[in-house]
Amino acid sequence: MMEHKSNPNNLTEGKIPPIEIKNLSVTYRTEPALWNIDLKLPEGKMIAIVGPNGAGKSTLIKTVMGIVPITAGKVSVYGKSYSKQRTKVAYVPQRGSVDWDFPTDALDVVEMGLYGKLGWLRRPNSKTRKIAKECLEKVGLEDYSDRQIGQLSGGQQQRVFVARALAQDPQIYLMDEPLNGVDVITENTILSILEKLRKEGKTIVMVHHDLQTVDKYFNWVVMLNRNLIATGPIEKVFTKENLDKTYQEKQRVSLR
Amino acid sequence: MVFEEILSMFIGIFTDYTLRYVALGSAILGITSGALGCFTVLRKQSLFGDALSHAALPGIGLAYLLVGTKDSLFLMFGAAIFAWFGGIVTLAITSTTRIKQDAALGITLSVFFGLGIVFLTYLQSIGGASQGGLDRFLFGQAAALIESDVINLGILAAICFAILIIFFKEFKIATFDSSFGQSLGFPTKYVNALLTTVIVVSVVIGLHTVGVVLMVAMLIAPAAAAKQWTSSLKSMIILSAIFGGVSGIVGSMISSTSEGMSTGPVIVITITTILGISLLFSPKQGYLFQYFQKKRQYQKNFDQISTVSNEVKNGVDKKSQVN
Amino acid sequence: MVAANCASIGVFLVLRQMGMMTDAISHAVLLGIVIAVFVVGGRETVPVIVGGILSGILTVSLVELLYRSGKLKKDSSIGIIFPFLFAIGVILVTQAGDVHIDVQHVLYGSIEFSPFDTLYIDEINIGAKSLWVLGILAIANLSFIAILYKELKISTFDSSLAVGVGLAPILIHYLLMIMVATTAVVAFESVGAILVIAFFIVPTSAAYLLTDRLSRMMLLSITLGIISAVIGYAFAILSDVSISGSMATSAGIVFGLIWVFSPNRGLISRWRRLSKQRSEIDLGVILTYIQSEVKEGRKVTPSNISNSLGWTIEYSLKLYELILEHNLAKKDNDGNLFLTELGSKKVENYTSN
Repeated sequence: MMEHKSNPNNLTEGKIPPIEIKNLSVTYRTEPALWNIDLKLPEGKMIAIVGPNGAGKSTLIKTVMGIVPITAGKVSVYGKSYSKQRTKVAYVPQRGSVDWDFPTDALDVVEMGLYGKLGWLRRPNSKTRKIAKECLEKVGLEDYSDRQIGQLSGGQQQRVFVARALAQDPQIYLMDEPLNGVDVITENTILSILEKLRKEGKTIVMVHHDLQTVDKYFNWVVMLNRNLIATGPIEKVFTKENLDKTYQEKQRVSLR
Repeated sequence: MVFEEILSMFIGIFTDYTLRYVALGSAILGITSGALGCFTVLRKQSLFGDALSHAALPGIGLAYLLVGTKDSLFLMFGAAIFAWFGGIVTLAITSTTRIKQDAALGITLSVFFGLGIVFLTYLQSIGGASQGGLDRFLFGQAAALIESDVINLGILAAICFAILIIFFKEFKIATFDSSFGQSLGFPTKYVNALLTTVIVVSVVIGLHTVGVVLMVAMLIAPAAAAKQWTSSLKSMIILSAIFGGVSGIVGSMISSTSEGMSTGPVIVITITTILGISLLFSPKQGYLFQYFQKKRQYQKNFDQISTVSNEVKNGVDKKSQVN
Repeated sequence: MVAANCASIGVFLVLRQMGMMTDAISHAVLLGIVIAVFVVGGRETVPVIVGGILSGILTVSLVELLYRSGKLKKDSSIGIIFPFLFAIGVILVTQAGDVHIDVQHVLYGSIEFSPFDTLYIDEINIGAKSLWVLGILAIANLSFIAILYKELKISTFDSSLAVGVGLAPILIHYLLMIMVATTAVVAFESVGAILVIAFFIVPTSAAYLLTDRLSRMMLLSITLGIISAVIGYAFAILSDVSISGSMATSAGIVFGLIWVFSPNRGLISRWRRLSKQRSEIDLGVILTYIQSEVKEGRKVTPSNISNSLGWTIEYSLKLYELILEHNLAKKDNDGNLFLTELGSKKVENYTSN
């Protein structure tokens, strides 16, 4: 699809990939969630992770950030462990994962994106406030900065989360279903922002549920159903055959 | 008449020696538990505080049994260790069995409390009257506070606040969005452990004035009241601390007017009244202010609502197109 | 008696996740009792029970009112309402000299005195009053459960289904709460507020760790309740401490033992099972790895394994030998590892989708 002109930041094949996963297995209690995954994600692409419910999509991106413990295997971000590359990665969790009744406003949430760079002990200041404001502007919510987050619409909440990721100014965006159940304005805003970022050489990895729009929005796909079914450029990999393989009835492993 | 009485009472704070310490101690309690209670409420762990405070009781008994003094520092230390242990037991029950949190809390609080009663009655049977001072921890007896107690409470409270201020950012993110916090490199486990420790300390501070039984109200009520007034965590904490402090002072004043009245219940009734007022009159959802606000911000609200509803409408249009 | 009473109802409370609501009710009944004593002027059983029930209902409805209003979460509502009501009760008790309720006994009861409070009918001593009351209550509780067993069961596990088949879960909810309040009031005199909770929740939770069947769980929790009551009583008499306190403690110890040793859900069996599953899974991981490496034509050695899977070399070596031992993989003539049929089958278990 859209092969863009070479960019100084854009490392091509043979260079260190933004995310490399080797022999990764993850288990929740007794249930395998991911099994022997080998994966290299290219830089500067819009990458979709698709698969049925329980296929381990969210687990995969959480594993990259060390939120979920690994049973076996290795994950590296630009060739090093995640703990050394934290500032290069931004995470956009599922909207339902937080309590929107929390006493905080939109600007404050965006500012949280900068906590990682501040590290322990240092406190937010006027500079972080300014960056947060700019990021809120980019998602078109500058008028809502002092709104309590529970009073925003679902789409606006999602945009606040995206703004928070922008504030982190990372190389890689890991997003968990950011387009799930949002309005058109939000979908378009998020997509145009991400497309711009991609052109700057950033890598966007998104758990995506809507199969109709995969070939429209993305140029790389990871098809997952506990095992890795297929990965690669959309036009080569996103085929009916692979889709059937991904979405066929999952056989549970019984362990006793 | 009543007014005069109250007035003389408040003059009493500055003149009467014992009353001053009583009020000061209660205020310290109210401020710390008010501030830290915000986190228990926001983490939906309100009743966790109840289990913690009940679990502290055997700690007091055991500390007295071992050390043999009523020095508040030792007793508080024992209380803190048992409260911590009670918290861990609760978490362990929920994480290793299919027993749900509410039952686990019930188990911890009743069993630990029973154990505490066993210790206290044992002390009674071996030591006769010497135990007398210990059962004030059930309902709190601020009137029994002496200077050294208040100093101890003050130091502990100061430590709590220092930790709260230093790690405010970390506490906030771990409470609001723990997996995001973890992705930034703030390990939720350690942040939570630190936060729980601070909450345990604030519970222990409260044992003197409110007692184990009613302590939970001092954690929840000020925070719940403060939440009605503000949409920022910082101001919620400050407000909650003020509410807690005020009710501590007022409660201990009222209870000191009559002989033998425990401080705890009075403080609890005071703070619940504050909460009731907050629920009715707060600007966010209260009835009275809503009316004024509507009038003042009518135009502004209207504009915002119409943009939002346009967005929603567009969203609906889009969905129907897709279908 | 108290133990049996509480344990029978406790089953439904634990399953309905209303443990803390019980806590709230058993505290709040104090207010009702005190007011009833004020109104009637004595400690007659009936008005006291009525007062307790009313305050129990008051608690439940206030809590629901608060959290239905959307301003507070449910746990916060509980944690505010019951200390408030309890506080009022305590103040009334301490301020009114003519009410003969000792504040401490409110909390931890005075079961030791209950046999002396005897009941007379036509001036004939028919035994301890509290024993009679408790006996009647036990019959009431058991018949309540016996009559409504099916309804309770359905509404506990699936309240929407209950509505569907024409039962009223809300009514049942309140009926249950009334039984809780009644039991709490009656038990109050002998064991006190907090230990009521111990008997409601602790034996039931222990039984929950032992069985899956509702009826068996009920029997077990009654038995466990009685056992801990007897042990607690004996200990208290021997060492001269509060009887109810020691009963709660022994209930806790019984629970602790079951928690650790329960055959299916205990800590020990859980730990065993987990570590077995752990090595089972790790075995699967390593076999899958070997298969894919062999397919790519690479060599598999313990150090390769430890490198690629991020395990310690010792652990990799241990599993490596285990595989060879169990004939899941073999070495060919060049010393290269390949999977046996058995091993491949195991891998297929994991990789087939």
